[in-house]
Amino acid sequence: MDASQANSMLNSFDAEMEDIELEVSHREGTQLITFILGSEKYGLKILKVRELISYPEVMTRIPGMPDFIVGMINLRGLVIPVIDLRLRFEMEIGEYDKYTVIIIVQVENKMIGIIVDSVADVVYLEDDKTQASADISTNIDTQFIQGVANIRDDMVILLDVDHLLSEQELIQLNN
Amino acid sequence: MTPDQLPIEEFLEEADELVQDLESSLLELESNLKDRSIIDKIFRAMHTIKGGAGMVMQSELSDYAHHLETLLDQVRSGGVECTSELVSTLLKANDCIISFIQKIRGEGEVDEELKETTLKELKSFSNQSPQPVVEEKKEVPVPQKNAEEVHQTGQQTYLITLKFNEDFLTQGSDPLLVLSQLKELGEISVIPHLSELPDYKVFDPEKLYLWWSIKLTTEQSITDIENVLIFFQEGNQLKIENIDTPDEEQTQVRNAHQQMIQEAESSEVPDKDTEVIEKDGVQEKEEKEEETTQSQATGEEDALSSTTDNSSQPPQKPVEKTEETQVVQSIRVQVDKLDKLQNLVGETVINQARLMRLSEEITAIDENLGEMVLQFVEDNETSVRELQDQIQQVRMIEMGSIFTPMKRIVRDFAVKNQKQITLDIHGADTELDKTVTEQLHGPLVHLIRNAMDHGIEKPDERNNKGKDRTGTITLRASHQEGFVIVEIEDDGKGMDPQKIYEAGVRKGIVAEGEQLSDMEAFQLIFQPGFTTTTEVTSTSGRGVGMDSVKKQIESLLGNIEIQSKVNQGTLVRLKLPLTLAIIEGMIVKVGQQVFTLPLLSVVEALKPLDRQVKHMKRSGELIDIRGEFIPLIRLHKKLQLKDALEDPKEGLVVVVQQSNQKHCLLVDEILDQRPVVIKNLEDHFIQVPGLAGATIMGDGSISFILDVSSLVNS
Repeated sequence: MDASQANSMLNSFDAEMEDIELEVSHREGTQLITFILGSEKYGLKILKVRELISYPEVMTRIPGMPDFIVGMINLRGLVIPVIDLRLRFEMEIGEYDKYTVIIIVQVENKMIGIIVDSVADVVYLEDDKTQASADISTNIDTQFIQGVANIRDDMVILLDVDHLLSEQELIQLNN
Repeated sequence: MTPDQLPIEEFLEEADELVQDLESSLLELESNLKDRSIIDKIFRAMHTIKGGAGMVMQSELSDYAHHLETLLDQVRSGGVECTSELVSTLLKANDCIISFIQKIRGEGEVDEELKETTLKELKSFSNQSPQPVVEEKKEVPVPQKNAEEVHQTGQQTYLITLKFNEDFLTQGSDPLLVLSQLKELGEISVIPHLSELPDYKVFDPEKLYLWWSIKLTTEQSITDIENVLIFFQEGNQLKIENIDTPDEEQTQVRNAHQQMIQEAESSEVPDKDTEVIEKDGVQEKEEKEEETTQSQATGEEDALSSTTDNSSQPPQKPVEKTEETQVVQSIRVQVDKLDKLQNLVGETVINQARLMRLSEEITAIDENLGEMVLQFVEDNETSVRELQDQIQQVRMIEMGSIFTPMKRIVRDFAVKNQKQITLDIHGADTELDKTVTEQLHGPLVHLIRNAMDHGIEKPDERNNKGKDRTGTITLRASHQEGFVIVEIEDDGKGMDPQKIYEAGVRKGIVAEGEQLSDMEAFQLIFQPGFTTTTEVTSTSGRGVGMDSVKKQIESLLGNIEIQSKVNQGTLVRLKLPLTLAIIEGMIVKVGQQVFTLPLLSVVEALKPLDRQVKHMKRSGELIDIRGEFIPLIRLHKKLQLKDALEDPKEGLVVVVQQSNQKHCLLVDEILDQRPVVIKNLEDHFIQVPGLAGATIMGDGSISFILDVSSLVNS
């Protein structure tokens, strides 16, 4: 190994160290991705999100499924079902446009795409700023809601993605 | 070493294999009680289990294995006679070891009861008065009197050839250790042979190129020498010959050997001379093997001189044929790694199809460029196909791995139920995807149990019917048209379609007065609930849980068929895809959507004429195909699709067969027929009835694979 190689190794090591320090300096709490649906802002734990994609050219309908399950998409070889959150929450049907985003959510090993109007931001939610869902009332069913939080003077509804996708829920709907 | 670092995983994997080997060796031994080589094999396996268990601190198992090893050692030395009772006990002990292994894996408890009984039985065997020491069968022919004579007359001389496998050193063994162990037995002289030594350019310092001839003069018996070498028998070429018999030929050999030793001692430097000498040694052995009469004793000198003359020739080919074992190198790979690899290959196959489309599009715009791209894509296609074949090959295992355990099941059942049953296995080397093979185990056990329980009669009953007292169950596997066919056939009492029909009527599965063909009647036994009353099973003679067997086979995208003749027997035929990852598919269009039908269930496709379409009041629509009336299923209705053709005469009907039943599926058109990569839907939140999976088409769109069985039954 010559001197320049050694140097470059040291440099990359330093860079790595900086990254680690950055991580540590973050505040305690949960990182959320926020998105818009109708006139409201929702939040989803970012650790559940695998990626964001725009509405694809091809969507294959699944025979015999309720309307809110809009079909399946091919995501680089993975076949993933997609649900429309507006239809799931029985809101009026929205047009799919260039802001329409499919959030690919992964819970355990299962993946599903969720269609939302648009994605807003990535924010930190400090643990003590959440209110349980029992205290609030919105025009949607509270069973999929974990609570609400006030983030930068904005109300964010926290989506309970595990519940939204629970098997019993979906089977019930299938029948 | 802390417990975390113990190679438990490795031990368990090895142990799994060993207990399997043990079981098949024991079953082999049962019909060949006197075969020394099998006993040796069992002893070695037991010793390895003991050692391995000790290494991973499983003293309980290692103690248990030690008891077994001790007994086996006595069997080997002839101190304990090998009887079928002994084998039975050993089989039970093997089960007990399996329970130990399961416990170590954290999946169960040790079968203490079994442990106690087997230990007790083991003890009773070793307490037997020792049999007179008679050496039964040796790998090397040795005069019978040998063992006793040795102790009286003293020394015997043996010529030992040690030709270890190249990877001997990397496997953690040390030839020096073996030599020093042999040295302890008596007086030895050792000649190393350099003939296998390669050119220094290709010399690999981790490989063993040397081999040895050893003259050992000892008071010990040949068994003691064998004991030193016992763990190296497999994969290495080892030979022990007694050269101390007064036989004239043998003397010749010994003299030649001595001469060889002298010459070797006189020339320390490995040069051409040594090569000549060792060739002589080789030649002698060959000679010795071939010669059966003394009259050829003179031939030896000729051989000696002739090889000396040819000393300038390249080293001779390996000579020994007796213990030739093919050493296949292998590594263990976790199945999920293979799965990932297979998925990736699947992606590549799909992308290849997309590339092909793309190059066509390019050709439309720029012919020259398109031509170049196409050329490249076609080259790539070859590699992708090859890749796909190879990865599929890697996942293939021989059906024997699930066939062999059936022997034990049949044996145990026959003993317990006083029946005489032989299990004939054919095509155990037929290869099938590992996952499919493993999932086939359950259904296979079920079908064999059925055949033994309900098919094969008791010996007396068989006698009265004029059949052989011993019933036969035949297990066959073969490749046919890209599928694997597994057949389970017995020569038992068979099934009477009339009785099945009556039972079906009683159970309310069939309406009274409904006409059923024999095929349709057999179909009834696959109905859930058909089997629940003992009355039905005793009259129909079959059918315990056949519906679950059918379900399992269908979940493998396979097909099950049954044929039976009263008093002649029953044949169950399973048709399975080679792999679960890629199947042959027929691509059909219904309305706006494209679906894939597994080709395995497709019988034919046709455009029906007006007169072929019949309407029945109760059964709905039927299609008359060469006199056979087959119910029509309108796929667009089943799948609630719009814009599909509704007139069977305009579209096409695809005849599918599931179990013994046929159905016609109405589709708009057939687009293609080709292998498709299956994407499982089971991992999803949404379970879709009627769909077996999905596949990705060349244009990136998704096509669902239809689950024919659930479609026709819903």
